Amino acid sequence: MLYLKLTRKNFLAALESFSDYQVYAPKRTEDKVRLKEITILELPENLQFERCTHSAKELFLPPEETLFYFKRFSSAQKPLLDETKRLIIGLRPCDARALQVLDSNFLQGGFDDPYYRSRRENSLVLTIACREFEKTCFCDALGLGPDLLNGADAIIYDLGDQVGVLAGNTVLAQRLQAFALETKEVENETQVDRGAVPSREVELLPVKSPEEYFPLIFQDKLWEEIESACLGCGACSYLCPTCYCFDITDVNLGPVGKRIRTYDSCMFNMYTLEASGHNPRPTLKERWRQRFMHKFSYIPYLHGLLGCTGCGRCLEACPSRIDIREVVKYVATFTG
Amino acid sequence: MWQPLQDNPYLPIPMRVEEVKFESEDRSLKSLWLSFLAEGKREEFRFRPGQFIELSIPGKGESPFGIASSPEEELIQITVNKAGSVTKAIHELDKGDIVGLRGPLGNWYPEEEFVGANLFIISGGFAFTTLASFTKHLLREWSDRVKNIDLVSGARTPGMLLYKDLLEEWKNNPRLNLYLTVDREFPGWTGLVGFVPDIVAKVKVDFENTYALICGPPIMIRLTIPKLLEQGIPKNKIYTSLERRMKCGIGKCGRCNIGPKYVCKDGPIFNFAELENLPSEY
Amino acid sequence: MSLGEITEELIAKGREAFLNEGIEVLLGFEKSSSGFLKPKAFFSPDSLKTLRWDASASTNLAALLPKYRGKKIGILAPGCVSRSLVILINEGQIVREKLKVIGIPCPGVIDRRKLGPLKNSYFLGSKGGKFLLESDNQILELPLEEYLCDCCLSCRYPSPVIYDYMIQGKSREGATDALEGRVKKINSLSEIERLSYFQDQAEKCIRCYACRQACPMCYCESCFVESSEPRWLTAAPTIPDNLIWLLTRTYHLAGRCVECGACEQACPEGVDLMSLLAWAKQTVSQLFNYTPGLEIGERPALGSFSYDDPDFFWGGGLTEEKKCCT
Repeated sequence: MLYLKLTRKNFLAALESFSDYQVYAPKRTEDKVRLKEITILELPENLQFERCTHSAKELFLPPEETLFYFKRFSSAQKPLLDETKRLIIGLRPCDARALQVLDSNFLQGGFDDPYYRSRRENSLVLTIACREFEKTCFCDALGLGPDLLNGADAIIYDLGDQVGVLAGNTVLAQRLQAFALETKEVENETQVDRGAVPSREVELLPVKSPEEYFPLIFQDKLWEEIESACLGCGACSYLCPTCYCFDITDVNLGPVGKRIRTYDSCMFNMYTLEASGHNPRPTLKERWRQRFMHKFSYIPYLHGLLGCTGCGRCLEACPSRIDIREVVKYVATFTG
Repeated sequence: MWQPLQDNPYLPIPMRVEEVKFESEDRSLKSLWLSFLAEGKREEFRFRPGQFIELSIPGKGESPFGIASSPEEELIQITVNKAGSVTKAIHELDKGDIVGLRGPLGNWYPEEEFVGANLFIISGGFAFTTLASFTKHLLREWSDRVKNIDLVSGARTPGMLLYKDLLEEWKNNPRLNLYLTVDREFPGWTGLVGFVPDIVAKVKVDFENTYALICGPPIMIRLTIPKLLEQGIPKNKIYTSLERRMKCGIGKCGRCNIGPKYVCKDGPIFNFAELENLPSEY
Repeated sequence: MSLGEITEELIAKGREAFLNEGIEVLLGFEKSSSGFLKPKAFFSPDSLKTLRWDASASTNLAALLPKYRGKKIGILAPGCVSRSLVILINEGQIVREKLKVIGIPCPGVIDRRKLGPLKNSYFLGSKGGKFLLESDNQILELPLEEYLCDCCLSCRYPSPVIYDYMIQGKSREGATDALEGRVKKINSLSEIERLSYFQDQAEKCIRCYACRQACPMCYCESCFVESSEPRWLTAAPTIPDNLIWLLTRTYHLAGRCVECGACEQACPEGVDLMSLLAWAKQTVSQLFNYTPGLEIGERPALGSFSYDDPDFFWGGGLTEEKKCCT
């Protein structure tokens, strides 16, 4: 990948060449920060953006996605895939990491999800390195960091009156090169000037290898303790940038209809409820355990990366203040 | 007409209902035979016994069903239990109606493994579908490559036994030993009486070289597998077909997982040794 | 109530409930990783050493009762929770004899929404009319009154209406019209402005159902949103669907909501839930002269009939004083 140094003005000028892209950046409305449409001219020259309270998931796996339309009992049309070109700037390394987790589900494993692929292939994701940690985030505790590329198209480092851009995407790198003060080929983040990378005293959460979670920790009474607090709402799943589980339902609109997918959560009773009435996960004990195991055991086992990015949105949102870090710590030190 | 986009695994293929038939006296179980609307699609639709399809009623939804017909048959047969809103709509279908189908999905019974062995086929209730597909295929195409075939099929009442025509045919087929059982005595019933797990324990099979294929409600499977293990059938020779609430059927929506495996993609056929290494969430 | 005092008495009463009354589980709180209290089920008297109660205890513990159905349950109950228990008893969901209620005279609970950017600080505790937060290595002492939930500010029943033990202390005095004020403000808007306001709320909603799960009155095993025949709303979080969700839930809670505010505390998106619920409560109160959850054995207003119920159909009509909507 290419590492480039540019003045801020020139960086923004380089982005203007992506004129056929719709630009998105984090924007605050009251107490929420989400990705909103913006023009390049409106981008702040200091390239400082607040961390999104809602993740990038909204743009790649929207809360409602039409799979296809149909006319009742007689025909179905070709589904319209979203091919909007998007240039998303201002996300954080944890958001880019989350997209890698979503990729592992939607783009791998036999079948390809054309809706997700279309959005992903038509988007450029430019993240900015974090300048400080939130009180609730913990990517560093998971061995990740606030300055990693994590598969984004580029990450922007604050170098004072200049920016350092580590570009993984060659098209983007080429366009930036024309405006750059200096460029060099590098292998990874450690070889480049990343500006002031925040660091803090943090206890590294000892995440176990996937095989170690089952059957040992599976039977522990830890899950009953969590069950006593968990309300079974979907707040954690809906705000989590890597939670992708969805429901498919048909909506009738008179003579036509559509099949849509919407967010779902493994915390809901209906998630695995069978028509016979049998539910393989009848209580919140099984369901909370499933959510945790999925992120820390099954996804790493299947795809080689943790299903959790350490963003901390779940523990901030949880009405019962369940802290996933405590669970990871307990599980990691559990010896049976 | 629907345009089946093969590169879009969510889009159903249009099918016509050719035939319908009630399979149980209480009319809760109904079979449908489906044909492909588009030319040449039947030849393209190559499946193996054990696999399932997702049937769409646009406006109502989609449900997964094991394929009950065998691969050499022209029409695709499924048997539907009326349980919820989608299956209720399916029950209201008649000849000529158009529906949608996605498939074939899932894995299949590993027929190659069974060559040279005995087969013990066990079915409870209306889970018989894929085992019926397997047995028909076996008897028609490759029964000479296996040794003994024992088939136990149980239902609550005689009227609830699936595929009665097929069972009649098989009663007279020297190639397999058929054991039909119902839960209690019934006037006019001359077959066995007892729950499937108990009947299974009584059937004498050569447990040294036997593969067991078992389908049924979770409770039946839980009670029958120990009987098979007691008799000495090794865990990795017991195959079962699991059921779960499904939506996408292609391993994307997340809900049918058992540990790191998806019932729709890595299953629904699992062998018991595999299941023992997975959480018992089924 | 000061830090430390109530804790000792709570633990003592909790132990009594286990040892003398034979409860199998005690529903209370313990400190979470952020210092705010989180709900916890205690299964033995020895586990009670982490039991706490303070002004950060915003969960309505009665919402956790269905998990322990059939058991003998001890539960910490300030006023609103005790009223929830009364309603659950009256609706046949729990049996009084299987409950041991540790009553807490409540000074009010902090509204995390009002904390704004301070909400991720570390909560040290509440004491007198103040509470302590630690933020960026500074300790902040803040007045409780400014950060209490509107529900607590308006609360007319801060002391529990039923209890088996009562913790010593003084409950909050002087109910304000915080909730009524919200309703009045919305009612003073024009029709279009009101619709626009509620559409804005519906736009925020993500249908995570945290409000429903946090509410002790939402105990239905199968919620109306899960019904497919008839299907009342789609699964998509559109404005019309979200309005159906918010409004129908409001109507299902009319005459049953004790205005504990647990729903608003649980909502991750900041939807204004209490205005609708306060309006419903006012309406029921005016029409039927009824406040829910005060007496075991009382018949719920919307679940019973009386000859002098206001009657729109037969011309019985509303008197001017009973009209509640403009």
